Amino acid sequence: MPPLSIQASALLSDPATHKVVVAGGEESRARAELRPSLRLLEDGTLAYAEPFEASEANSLMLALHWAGKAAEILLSAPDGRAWRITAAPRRYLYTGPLFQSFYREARAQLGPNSQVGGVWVLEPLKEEDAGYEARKRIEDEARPHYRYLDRSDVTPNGARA
Amino acid sequence: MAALAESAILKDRLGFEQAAAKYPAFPRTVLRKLDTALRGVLISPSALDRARQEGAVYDPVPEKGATPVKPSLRGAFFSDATLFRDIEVDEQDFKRRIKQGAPYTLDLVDGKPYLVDGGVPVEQTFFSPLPSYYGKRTQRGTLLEKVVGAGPANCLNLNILSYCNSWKEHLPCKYCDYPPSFRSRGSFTPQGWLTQEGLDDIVEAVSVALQEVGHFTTLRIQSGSDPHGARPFENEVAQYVRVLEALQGVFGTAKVPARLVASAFPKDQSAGLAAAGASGYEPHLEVWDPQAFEWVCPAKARYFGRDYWIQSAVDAVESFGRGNVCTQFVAGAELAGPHGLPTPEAALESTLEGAEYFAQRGVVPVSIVLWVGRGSIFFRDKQAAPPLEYYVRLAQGFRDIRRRHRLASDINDYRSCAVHPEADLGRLDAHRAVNGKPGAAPCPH
Repeated sequence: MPPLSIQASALLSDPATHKVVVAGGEESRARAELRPSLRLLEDGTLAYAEPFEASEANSLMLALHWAGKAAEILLSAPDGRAWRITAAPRRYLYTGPLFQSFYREARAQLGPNSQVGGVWVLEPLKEEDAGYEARKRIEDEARPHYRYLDRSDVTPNGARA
Repeated sequence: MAALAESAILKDRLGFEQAAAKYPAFPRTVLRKLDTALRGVLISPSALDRARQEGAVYDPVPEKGATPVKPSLRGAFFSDATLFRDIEVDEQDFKRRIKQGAPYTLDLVDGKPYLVDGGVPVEQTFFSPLPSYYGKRTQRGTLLEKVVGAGPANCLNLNILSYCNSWKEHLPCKYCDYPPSFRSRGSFTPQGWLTQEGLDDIVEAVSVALQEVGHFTTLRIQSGSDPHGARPFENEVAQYVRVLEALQGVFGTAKVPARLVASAFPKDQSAGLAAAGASGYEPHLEVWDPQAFEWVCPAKARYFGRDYWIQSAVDAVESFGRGNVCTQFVAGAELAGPHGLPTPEAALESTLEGAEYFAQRGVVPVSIVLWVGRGSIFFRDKQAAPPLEYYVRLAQGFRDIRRRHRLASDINDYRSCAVHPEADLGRLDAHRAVNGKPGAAPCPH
């Protein structure tokens, strides 16, 4: 498992980053959840706290794990940076030092009436820049005929609004 | 021989990989858990040392004059948090059970704990650390773990009676391997009930245990059976009320997050237990087939019969709500000869019929793998649990029934009991369950 890029690591450690985990399942169902607790562990895996044991998101993530499939993580910063990580759920736990770490963190942030249902550990498989400019470069090169003709790069001499 | 000719399950006797190939949608970890329950697991010395380093080994302090007890683990996890239990530290301990096939080994592979089958690592495993209250004592000097046991991870276990009347009357359930005076935790009167000091110990032990954050979500309170009193099981009910009222003081709430694994009580008595704070109730029917029930559980048949035990569970839903009343089936007991059902297929049909009956009425059916342990009549008679495939089909059937009826037992799930394979499968359905009082509104999603 190669280490995550500097860009992804920076987004993960930035408290302003929105972190969304999407688990898809059978019958084309998918569940997107904000996961502010998502963090990079020392061994290069990712971990986040699932607040509720009986949530649909938790069931879907377990289904992915059992099926050997991957989830999607989207990291989005206020300055426009965005990163997508495809990651396979490798472990769910509700005891031990890692769980306790997330539990204490939740308590510190959310107060004494809060909890963590469990912690998912995921192995990053693939990552890509999900920001607009990066995506535009890729799409323009791969699919040039979907570019609008009034774009400045497409028709430099053309009239524009 | 007739049964063998008629039963594909007996004839095929699928091993793990064969079962996994035949039932590809059945999660491998849950299948492995069933297989470890049937075959047993022996932990290697090096893995035991690692478990100790991680705080997962219970090395009990021997009572004065008593024989030292071997170290034990509360089980170990697979990667998905499925817990498997009954890990033996000594090969000699396998003689205490009738098992199927060669046991697994729990060993270190490249420095990591793995379940090993015939020399091949098959599943990475993770130890379950003991709670921090273990080793501490009450003001009276009683070890807290002797008062309140922990395991599996989210559950605190209390036993409030030092015996089971079934054994006293020489009518134990035939699979039961508890000795006549089991579980010496706490302090008991000569009649077997908790003394005030024993009750005080419980209050203190639970209070201390709850100081560890992020560990416990529920209590399980159980006793042996005592059918006596002015009304059926009145003596037993009174003891549960006593303990619940004491625990209300610990939690500071009228409701105590505790389920009672108890005898079958009349409707008004189970209502009284709900009023005293109990959150869940489990009168275990154990066997659905009427003839097998009479034979496997003679004391339950005597006090006060199969219909009574069924009705007790059904009636309790009104007080405890859907999903908070369970009844257990000892899967495989209904097959034990000479009075049991003839084939695993017949047993499946029977037990699933029972599960459906209860589910229709808001009672959650749960199953366990038959444990044939030394001290039980089944062990004496050399009964054996049915093959792995029987348990796969039963767990699937239970899960399908529970899913269809939108039933989940949160108080008796894979984290707070961990011996019910359909609870492991049911993790995929948990969000669909409609629990609570009869007529509760369906879940919005």
